[in-house]
Amino acid sequence: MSQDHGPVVRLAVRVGPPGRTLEAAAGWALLAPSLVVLLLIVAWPLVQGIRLSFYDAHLLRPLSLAAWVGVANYLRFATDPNVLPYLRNQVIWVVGSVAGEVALGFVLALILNRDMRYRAFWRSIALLPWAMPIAATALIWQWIFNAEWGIANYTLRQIGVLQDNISWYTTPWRLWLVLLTTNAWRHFPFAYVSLLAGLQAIPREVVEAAEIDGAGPMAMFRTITLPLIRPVLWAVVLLLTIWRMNDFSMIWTMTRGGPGIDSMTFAPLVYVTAFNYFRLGQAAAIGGIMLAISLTLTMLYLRRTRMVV
Amino acid sequence: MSPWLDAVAGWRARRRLGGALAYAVLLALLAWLLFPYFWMVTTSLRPSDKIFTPTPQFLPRPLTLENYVWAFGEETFRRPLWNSAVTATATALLSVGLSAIGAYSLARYRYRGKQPLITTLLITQMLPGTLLVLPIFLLINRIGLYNTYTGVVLAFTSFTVPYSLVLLRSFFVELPVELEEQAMVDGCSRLRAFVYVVLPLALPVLAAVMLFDFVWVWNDILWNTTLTRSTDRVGASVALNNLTTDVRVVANWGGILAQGVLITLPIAVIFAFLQRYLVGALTAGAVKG
Repeated sequence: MSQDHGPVVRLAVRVGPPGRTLEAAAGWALLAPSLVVLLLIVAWPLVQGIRLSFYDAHLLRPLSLAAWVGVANYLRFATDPNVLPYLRNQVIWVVGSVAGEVALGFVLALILNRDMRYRAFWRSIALLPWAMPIAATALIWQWIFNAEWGIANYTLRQIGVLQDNISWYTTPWRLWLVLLTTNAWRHFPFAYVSLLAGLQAIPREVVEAAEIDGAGPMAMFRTITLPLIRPVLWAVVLLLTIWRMNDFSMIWTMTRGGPGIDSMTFAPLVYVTAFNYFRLGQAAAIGGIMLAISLTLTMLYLRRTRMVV
Repeated sequence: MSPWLDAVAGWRARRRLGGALAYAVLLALLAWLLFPYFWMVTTSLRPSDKIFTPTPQFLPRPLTLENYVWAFGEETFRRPLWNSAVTATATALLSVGLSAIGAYSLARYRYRGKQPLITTLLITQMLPGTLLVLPIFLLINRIGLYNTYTGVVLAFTSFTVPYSLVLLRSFFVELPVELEEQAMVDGCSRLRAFVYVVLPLALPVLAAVMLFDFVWVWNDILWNTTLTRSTDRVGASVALNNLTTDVRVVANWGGILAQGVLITLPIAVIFAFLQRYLVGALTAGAVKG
């Protein structure tokens, strides 16, 4: 080390590292209480959950009697006679709900990004579904789609689409229509808010320049809006895919996965397998599959948003 | 007219047409968004012979509060309402109490491992709750906390603590650092600066995050379903949802819709207060990064 840098180095040694160490120690100390909670009720259960998936754990037997069975629980799920309906339901649910939320959110964001009177008011109205608890949401939509007295059947009869009342739950496509409509209604505000923020971030000059060049609405959307909003759109789609894939509340409150297994997706299936059929290991294996997909998508998401390179 | 003016005129006309179309779509969508609220409230105010009718009235006449009398009279609903209030308040206080200092550390202190930690907090929001619920159920059961307030509150914090940390951190980052520096120049320790300068300024923010935690617990289905059993511990959302499958009341749509209004009311009021924070909280650590 050259003598010229002596004072600088000495200063750094005296003030820098000890100060830094102290700051780091204080920082960790302040975090400690939260970290204890996180380790206890997130990290530990996560590890235990994964472990469970490799044991033939049964809810009504002491856990200490559970034997290691390797990937048997995973294989058993893969060879379950109902695995195809479960997969089909899961795909319909995830694709349908993400598509519905994004479409609705995008259309509203595009409209509410325009200059218009009372815009702030319209914008806050669009957030309203978010204020309704899931249990109440399920309730009112069940009532709307009630077979005998529901307003949906009544309206469809009035406009001549239906001759007689129908049950909305007994035909799979109608069942999913009800579930996906309810979900889109309740959950679209996230896509709406995120996309609206993305649209607002598009520089005005770019839009104005395109307008002066005579770009029509469609051309404008294709060449300006869509390319510039694409990163946000991707992030929203990835996040929603993860969340809907793991979502329990909506299907559970609406149908409990029924009738039969007609709307059984992975999340309610984990619950039912563990708490109705007591097959803990099997349930954990299904959860393990969900975890693997979630983490893969999360990595993709973190890369996209450049939080992890 | 010059071609240029022509182009502008044509563009204006198209724009006006586009504007009308946009309005039409907007109004149709907003009507659809509002309808369930309207239908829930008005149905809950109808006498039963106006609920079960082949041709429903759009607006109920006469109005009646009998459904609300029934709703409040049901012990299987009144008690869960109280349970939700207790567990939601306790969770909110506990999570914000724990995460306020943690979030301050994440916002202001420099140390290695901080960024990975923040990323980890975000990842916890992506984990399948139904997987976590299995070991937590076993644990809670083993330590004798099944069907207790303590048990559910503890489980709720698995979501609310990471969420509050991320949310509070993003708020703390936006507080001007100069105030603390000033206090420290005046001889305050960093901790004193936090307690006497930052916390008072952050009070509205702390209250906001507390309310978000409260709403989260109020809406919860999964943890309540798994960790509680009896009317004297179960939350209102789950209790109401279970009522819809209860043959005893399943025919009383007016009554359960009144209960639906009642569990929505506190959340709607809270969101009205939270308007300012709503968007930030919705996208905290998600799209914004």
